[in-house]
Parts: sequence; structure tokens; C-alpha cells
Amino acid sequence: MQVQVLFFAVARDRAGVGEATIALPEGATLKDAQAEILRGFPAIESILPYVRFAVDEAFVSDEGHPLRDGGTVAIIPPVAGG
Amino acid sequence: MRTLEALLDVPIDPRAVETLVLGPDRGGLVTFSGVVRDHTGDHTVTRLEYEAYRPMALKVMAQIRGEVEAAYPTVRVACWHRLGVLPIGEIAVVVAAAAPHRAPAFAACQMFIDRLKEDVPIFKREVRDDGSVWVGMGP
Repeated sequence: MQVQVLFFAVARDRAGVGEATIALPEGATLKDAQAEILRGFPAIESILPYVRFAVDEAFVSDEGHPLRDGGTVAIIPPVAGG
Repeated sequence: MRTLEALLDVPIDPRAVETLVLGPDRGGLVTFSGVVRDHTGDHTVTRLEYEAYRPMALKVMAQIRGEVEAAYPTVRVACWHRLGVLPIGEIAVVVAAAAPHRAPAFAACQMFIDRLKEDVPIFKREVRDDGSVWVGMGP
């Protein structure tokens, strides 16, 4: 399956891109996407303790969360609205 | 613009947000405006740069409105947030809450802005006289 990855704020600075597409096997989970993202963009490793992940525009804390073909995984750095 | 949640690339008129929640049965209106400040701790701030995961930010703002309305059923609440480069003194966010009486309007306004700061994917780079930092990434 193909999954779109979005990088915002400090994550975009580290990755050097705002978005990317990754290929994952069928049945892949958020954990699989995280591993693939780290392989492609190792510079984000140091900010991982600060970030949350969103799948299809909703926060997901369960690494076993299943992904769908054409879905979106976003790396959400600390939010700072207001 | 008539939506209860919005992300704007142009200055926000608080009155426009207030108009969305006012009504003939609502005698209490509380408006919070978050304004760009010229310092953080000992650092001098020269401007803020906001960006957002726009579709998700709007979804989460709508979810928060649902939480606030569930907690304070007599309240109607709206929130607009600014994005882009903001100089000192510019309004970054406006939350307006109106209710028949003041107490739930105050409480709802505070609950909305507190929840926004926790969960809405809006990001802020603080440009200081000695460099710039993404807010929330530690010193």
C-alpha cells in the first residue's frame, strides 16, 4: 500500500520535505510506517520524544493502528496555538 | 466568512467572531483574544510564525466545540485562528462564547482556549533577537 506522510514545523525542518509517499506491505500498522519514515528520514529521530502521530487527520497513540492504502500519516510536533 | 471554526491568513476582527455567537436570548458574551507578545521569559520576541495542519486543525476545533457545548449546553462558541507571520500586537486567536448569563460564557471560553492549546495542530515559530525556535521543543 501507499501512504502519504506529512511533516510539519520542526519535523519538516528536520526531514527537509513537507510530504513524502512511502510503500508498505498490506496490513501495515502505524508502527511499520514509523520504522519506514525513520529509515527514509533519520534526522527526525531526535525529535521523536516530542511528537505525536495522526492517521487520517486524527491523533493515534496505538502503534498497532492499521493503515489503509491512500491514507495519511502525519508527524505532529508540539502544538502551540494561541 | 460565517464558520464557527476558521484559520485565517488575514487579520481577525473579533467582532466578526462575536457576531457568530450572539443572539437575542444571550446576555453574556465573553471574548478572548490571544495577542502576540514581545517577550518569552528573558528573550525578546520580534514576531511569530504560525502554521497548521489545516484540515485536521479544523476538525479538532469542531470536536472541541462539541466538548464545550456538551459541558455548557446554553453556550454558543466560535474560534478563529490566524496563520502566517504575525508582528507584535497582532491578534493570533479569538474565542467568543455567548450564553444567556455570564458564568457559563466565561467557563466555556476558557475551556475552549485551554483545549485548543492542548490538541489543535497549530505550530508556532518564535523569532527572537538572537535566533528562532519552534515553541514546545524545549529551551
